[in-house]
Amino acid sequence: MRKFVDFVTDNPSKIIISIFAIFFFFSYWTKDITIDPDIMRALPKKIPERRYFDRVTDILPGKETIFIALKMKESLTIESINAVYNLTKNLEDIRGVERVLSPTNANNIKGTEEGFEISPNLNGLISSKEELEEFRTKFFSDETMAELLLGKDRKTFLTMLTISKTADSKKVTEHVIKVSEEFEGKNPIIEKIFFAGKPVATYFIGKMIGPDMRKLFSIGIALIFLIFFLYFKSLRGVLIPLFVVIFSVMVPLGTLPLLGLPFSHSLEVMPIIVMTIAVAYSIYFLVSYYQNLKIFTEKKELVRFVLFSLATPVLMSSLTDMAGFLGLNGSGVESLNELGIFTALGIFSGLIVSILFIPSVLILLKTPKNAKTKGELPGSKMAFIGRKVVADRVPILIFFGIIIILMFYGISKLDFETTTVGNLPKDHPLRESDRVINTQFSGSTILDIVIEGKEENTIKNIEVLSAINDLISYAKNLPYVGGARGFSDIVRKMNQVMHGNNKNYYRIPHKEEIEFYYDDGVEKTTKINGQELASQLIQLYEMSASPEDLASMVDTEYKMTKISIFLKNDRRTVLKETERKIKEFAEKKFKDLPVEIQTTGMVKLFIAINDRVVRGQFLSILIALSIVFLITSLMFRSIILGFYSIIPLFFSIIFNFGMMGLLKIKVSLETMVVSSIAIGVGVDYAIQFIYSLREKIRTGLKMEEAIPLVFSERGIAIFLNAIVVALGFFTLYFSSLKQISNMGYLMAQAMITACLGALIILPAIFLQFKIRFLRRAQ
Amino acid sequence: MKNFLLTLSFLITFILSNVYPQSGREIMEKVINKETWNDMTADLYLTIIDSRGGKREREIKSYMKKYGKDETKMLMFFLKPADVKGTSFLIVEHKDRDDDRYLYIPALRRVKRILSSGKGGSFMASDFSYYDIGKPELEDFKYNLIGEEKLGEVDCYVIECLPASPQIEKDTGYSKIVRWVRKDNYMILKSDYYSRDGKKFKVLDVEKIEEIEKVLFSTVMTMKEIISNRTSRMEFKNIKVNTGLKDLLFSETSMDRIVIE
Repeated sequence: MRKFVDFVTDNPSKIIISIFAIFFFFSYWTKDITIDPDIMRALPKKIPERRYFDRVTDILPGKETIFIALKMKESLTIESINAVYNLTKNLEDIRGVERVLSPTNANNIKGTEEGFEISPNLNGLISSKEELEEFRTKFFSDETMAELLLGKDRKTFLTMLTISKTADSKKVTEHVIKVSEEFEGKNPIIEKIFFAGKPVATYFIGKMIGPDMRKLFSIGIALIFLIFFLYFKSLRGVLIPLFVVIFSVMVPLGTLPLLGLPFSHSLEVMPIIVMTIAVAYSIYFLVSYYQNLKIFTEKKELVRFVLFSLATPVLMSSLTDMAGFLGLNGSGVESLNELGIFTALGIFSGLIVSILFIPSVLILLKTPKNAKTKGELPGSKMAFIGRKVVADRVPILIFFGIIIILMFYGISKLDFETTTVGNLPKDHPLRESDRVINTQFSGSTILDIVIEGKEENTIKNIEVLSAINDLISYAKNLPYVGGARGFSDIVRKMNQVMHGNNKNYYRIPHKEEIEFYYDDGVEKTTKINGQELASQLIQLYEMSASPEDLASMVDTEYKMTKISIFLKNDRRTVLKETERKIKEFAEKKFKDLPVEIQTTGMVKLFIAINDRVVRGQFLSILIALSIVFLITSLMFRSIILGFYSIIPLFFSIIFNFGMMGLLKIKVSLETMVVSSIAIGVGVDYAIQFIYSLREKIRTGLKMEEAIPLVFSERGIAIFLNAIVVALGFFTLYFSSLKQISNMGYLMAQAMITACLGALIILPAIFLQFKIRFLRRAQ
Repeated sequence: MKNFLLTLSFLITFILSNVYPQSGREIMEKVINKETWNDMTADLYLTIIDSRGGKREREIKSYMKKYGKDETKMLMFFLKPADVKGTSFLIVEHKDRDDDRYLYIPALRRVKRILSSGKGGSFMASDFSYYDIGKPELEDFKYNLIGEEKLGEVDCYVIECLPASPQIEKDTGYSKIVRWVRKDNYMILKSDYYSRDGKKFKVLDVEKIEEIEKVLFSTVMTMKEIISNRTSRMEFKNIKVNTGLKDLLFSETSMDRIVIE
């Protein structure tokens, strides 16, 4: 330690130059930062649900669906239909769009005695009433399609757009929205355009995150520096922490392009977290510096003293902070691992710049003139609180005991619901869009049921087709299900069309069918094989439809197909319940058939990841606690002190989950990571407190005397630190996104509770239970 | 001076005609109007291979006959897969209007006319369009000779074909085709197809050319669809030409008979 302190105090200029060199190096690289808003990249690739999703989208192309609803001023008129036709054409031309399904380009399967045709409902603009009538007839001839694409008010038309699996979802979504909005501006017949679907929701959220983060970062910096300025009343008290913060954020940001990594969604909260924690390190140094100004006349001696007393606890603090973030690796979600690693790197930079740069600058700068009065008042107030803790330890423990019981009640009320649209502000236009699409149409959330066999042509099997058909009918009657579509619908329609449009044939062919035919003008009947009929109907469709049409429904070898279930909301419980019922039904229905049934889809994937994070988070908490316990035990060279250091964290975590239950804050990816983060950062207070307390007791003081002294000397730094860190995190509360806002509130709360745990509960426990290790130390 | 200018212009013309001895159109004329057949019989193996290697295979017995310059009839009997055996497909290709297409469905004992989806429509759900498999019309495109290249060991002309009218572009679905034509026999070896938004989306490779009765045939062709990474492969075997196929064969009434010689 002495060597280190000598090094720092002997080479301030060299250190400052080196730090600036490092700073400029990383700042230079930040110019190459690329932003990758593709939500898919942020999702873990190794989990089974993702692998299955990727496999299915590889076989049946198209990963995500955008819903565009056009509300017209008029119902099915020439002008309104032509507008739908033109928009469809514009959307089809967008690169990265796999397929567009709209009332005008939906395939019409038409059959007469002589002929058969599969063609779009509309091949060009309508110019006469006759053509309009022809379109209407075609459109309404396919009831399923009409139900899917025409709103209940008969004025709103739905267009469903599938994004190609190789395309950048964000870019395609952005382009689609731009094209549609421009189109809306040019076509007065359109009353309003609504967008919905997972890509749109994530696009809007992504779009909000950037400005949101800039806003939050500015608020955070302003708030923290206001406090610094008010407390230190000097420019250096503000500028030094400012540089520490910027340096700490620049290092991880500059490392990203150096490693060839983009700035992804999951890293959006990283700058705020790093900023807050790095500021905390500055506080320890600056508070100690100002508090001891009057003791030392020689500024080098003062800085040496500050470094001697703080380097170890700050090092320990940063190690535990990093441990908390690295604990996120236990979640098994790659995006959280990334957040954990880069935040840890930011914290490490914060540590380096704090223990090297701050002392060096303080040595070079002149001692402040009015310094002698600083740091006196709060210390005495804190000593008063310390004395109260010593005196009222029993009521204190009872009070916190009651709170913990209340929090356990809160934990029993935890809400595991998740929703993407629900994350947006209440007045966000997407919320209205989602409501319109869910009330006018089948729904904007798609759950895919995948039916897969091992043998070629399994999907052509009429028993499999019938079971698929039954499953579609069953699904349609489930609550929140607005519609369902599958390959069996095509076979049914083909069967009907090939039987002169007779509605009795709107079904999958039976095993044995009786067919009428004419031989030399005489009507005859013959028994035919239903399986052959189905295969030949499929072949007829194959030969008439476009390969892309077919490819989105069934694979090349007829081994796999999917049923798309349209749900009216994206809530986790709705999805889980629908999935459960469908699986239950499918297990019975497909029992003796050579197929396997699984569910997938974008929303299902998000929920699976969320569930995984929630489950994995308990492991993360455990990992973080263990690492912190290990570090503190090593630091104090005492397992018992290591254990006491994490007691305030237990309180903080229980309080966090309890309040989430009581305030109905949903358990989600964002709110769950709070505990891991809180462990690393929150343990600082206990470390600082125990460290100082032990020092005092080693000098021969009794516990009762030592506690108020620790309060007066270190209490203010701990308290100010907690307030600043809590305020820093609390800036996230002002986010427009509900989950980030909740995250901000919970992190701030975790800091305050960890601080209270360290300053109030811990000494009360030490006193009440007469902790033996301290006596031995005495 | 006059003589000098005359000599110079003669020299320039001579040099140019040696560099590009023929125009793109002249080359394509030779491609299209080569020695050909009046009727032909062949076994066609059509395989569609998706990006993961999944295959859909068809075995077809095909008969074709030309009726002057303006009409060609093709009759195809499906032999495999087994569940569609007996299905037959009749295409009557017209020069100046949409094709007539008929499908016989044995299970229903009915011939159904498939209303044409234009020449740009997919041939049997493969990546070949009806335009790709039919005989090209010289007038449909404008041709530019854009260079000469070696494909493997073979010298080729590289011809850019641009639709002669917006209607042709709409019908075929192509905004441009770049073709590699063998210098020695005027057979097409490779073609790049560009979609209406100007992007290359399909590539045709002719893997085998055979001469049967003095007629050159591309007997193995693969068409690769770039975006979906799907390939369609056509292989012709047992080609026989000018055997005198009867007109009656190419009628709806013969579609319910599998003709295997």
